[in-house]
Amino acid sequence: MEIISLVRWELRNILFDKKFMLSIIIGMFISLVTIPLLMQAVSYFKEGTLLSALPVSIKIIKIATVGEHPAINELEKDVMVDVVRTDEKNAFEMLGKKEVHGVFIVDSNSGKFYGRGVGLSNLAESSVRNAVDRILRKDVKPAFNLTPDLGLESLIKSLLAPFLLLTPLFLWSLPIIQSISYDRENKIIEILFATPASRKEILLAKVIANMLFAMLLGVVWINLVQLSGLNFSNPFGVYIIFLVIAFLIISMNALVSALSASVNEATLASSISSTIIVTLFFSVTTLKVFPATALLARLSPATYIAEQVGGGASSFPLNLILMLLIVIASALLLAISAFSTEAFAFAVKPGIKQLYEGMLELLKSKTKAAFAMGFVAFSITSPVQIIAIALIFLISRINILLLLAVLVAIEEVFKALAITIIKPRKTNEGVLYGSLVGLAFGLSESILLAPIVDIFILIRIVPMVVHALSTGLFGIGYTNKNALASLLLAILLHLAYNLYLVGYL
Amino acid sequence: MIEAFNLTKQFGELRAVDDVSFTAKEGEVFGIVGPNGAGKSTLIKILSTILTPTSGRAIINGLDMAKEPQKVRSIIGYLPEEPRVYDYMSGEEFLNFFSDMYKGDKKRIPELLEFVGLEKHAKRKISDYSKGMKHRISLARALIHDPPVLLLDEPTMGLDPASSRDIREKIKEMRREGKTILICTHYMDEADFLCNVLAIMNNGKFAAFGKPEELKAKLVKGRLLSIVIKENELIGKIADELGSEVDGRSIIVKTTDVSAALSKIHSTAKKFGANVLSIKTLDPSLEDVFVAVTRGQKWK
Repeated sequence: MEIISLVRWELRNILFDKKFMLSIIIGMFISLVTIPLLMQAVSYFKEGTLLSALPVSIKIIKIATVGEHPAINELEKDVMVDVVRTDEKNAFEMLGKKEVHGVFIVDSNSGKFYGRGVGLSNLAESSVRNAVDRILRKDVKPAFNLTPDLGLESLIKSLLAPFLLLTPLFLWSLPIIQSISYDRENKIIEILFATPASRKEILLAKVIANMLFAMLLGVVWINLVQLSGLNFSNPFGVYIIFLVIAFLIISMNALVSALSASVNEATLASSISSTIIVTLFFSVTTLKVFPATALLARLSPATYIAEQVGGGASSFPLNLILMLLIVIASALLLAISAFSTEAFAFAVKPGIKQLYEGMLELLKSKTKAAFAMGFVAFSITSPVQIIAIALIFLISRINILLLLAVLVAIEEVFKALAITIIKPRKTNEGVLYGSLVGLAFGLSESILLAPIVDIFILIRIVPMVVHALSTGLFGIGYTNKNALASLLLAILLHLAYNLYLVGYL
Repeated sequence: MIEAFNLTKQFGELRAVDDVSFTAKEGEVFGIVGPNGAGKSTLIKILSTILTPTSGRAIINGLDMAKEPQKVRSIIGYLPEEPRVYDYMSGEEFLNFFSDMYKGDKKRIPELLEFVGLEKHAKRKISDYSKGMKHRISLARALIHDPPVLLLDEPTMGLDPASSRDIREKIKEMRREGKTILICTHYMDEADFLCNVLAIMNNGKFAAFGKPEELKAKLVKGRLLSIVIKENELIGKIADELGSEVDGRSIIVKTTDVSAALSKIHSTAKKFGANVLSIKTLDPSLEDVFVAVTRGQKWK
């Protein structure tokens, strides 16, 4: 069990690094002083002073209603819905002129609603109308937060919370970079590789030591943060989320260090990757400000922390944690693969081809490697998709068709890239590896989307098949020298299913 | 004992180690000499399991490297060309760390520190060590688990003469203890001093192989004559006429028939009107063997 000795020494190296420990203590001290000051400042943002400036006060959709129903009275109080009570003839006239987004008529016999709406391409409008539709027609509780009182003070506090809580992780996850890159730059890795410890053990020991450090410090940190004014309804849940994000950053740091030639390069690459991770999480969490996009905010683990401060009794995002564990496992797998390449022992950057060879050596099977590549492709695709959504939002009003086409194209391109790395030769290999990549990808996607959608078969099972089919199709094309045509076909197949799904919803 | 069978290592187009087979026995210092880029370090990295051979296999003390790499690693002590050390640790901590990695006996640490003459510097940070001290703590590190097989890559490279002599003495001491020692070196005198068996490596292959004295006798057939003449300006012309080489102020004649060579030297000197000041015979050095082999020529 060389790994235990290694972990002990790695941990000792972290704790005995006086400069590093001092900077951690100073960092924590600064944050602890800042938190109460910020909270104090936030309390000056009283309701009504800034609320009108936020989009939450805008009437996003206008509906016409015919007849009487208690739900209509509820809706009239909503900040986002403009309700016009009228008769049936007038209501449909308004709809024809597109003066309203939808018409809802109370059936005098059953007391239920029926109605019609205009086609909407605006995401916010369609989301709100969808919510209204569910409330009125299906007699369900609002899935969206349609209440006018969002509580600005607690909202800003809750958004600040994950930011303040997670920032120290940048610093806490540096030891792994120091450890891997130092060993490599000074070629100590050569003599470590000549000891009885395996390469996997050496890398994992470094990750475990850094994680143990984050776990220990995390307990102290979450308690201190609560003392300084940020209170969580479920501190243990927050601690778990905190650790998963720490694990993600540490694994990414292990990966970038295994791919960089020097400490400096690794530190730079880690700053970029950690910034991307925290920025993505944080920006997705801010979506909870807008009722129309609040559900999307559930895609970020930071949202849970925000909700905890907001006093909400939100459920623990288990699916999200599972998805993040997939990303973490992918990063660790790639890091160990890089570690196992010969290039690593020579302090040369391994190429993608060598990285894949390292993975093959580790997993000892092309089939397993293809399945793993599906998870890797998913881990890379998700952040790219979030950035793409933001860009589409910037350049145009959200167009559902354009959005779907771009998202599908990104997914298919990254899965296809995985196939080009695996390089199947025969058609049957192309089908097998393509389907495996697609299956692993679809599985990850279904885990991620689980809480957002409720149609189990259509959204969780069928997409896995669609992913496996489309990439299997690409596998056939790739092995028969028709890569581009089959990629286009795969995109079309996938897009057709997604359009069907949108139409169904 | 190290047994290597047809070891080959290919890096893209380059065949760094080309079909190398040999056996190094217990109590033997097996030396590998060769020019830069000959493949010596690659070979030693293969034997220390850092690199996997493209083909061929090696058995170390009965353990197959490919099948039981972890067990092989626990019986070899690998010393890379440059000292690889944790600058931020003290010498003692450094040895402690590796003792843990090999589950070694901690009692060896003070013994080894004394062995390499660093007992007074055990508590000092390695960053404060001189180059020679770093080499010595590295040697102690390679010996921490008392390995029966040692793989030493240029153990005295860049060291001052005193440190080099120290390390060479230590290696001789370990040879007496019955360890199998494989050593790569640039220095011919080091190879001559330490090795029982010697291989000259060039372009990835063992170009010559045997005991140092056998190699000298086999590869440098005949004698070397060193001639000094009074007229410096005639050195080049006479050397050309004799078909020999110039070394500083001396003309070096290689021959298997000394008396015939002497008469030719005298007649040539007479022809050019040169005065011969001295003629000496030289014994071939290992360096001559090295030069002969790596240039792919044998003296007739």
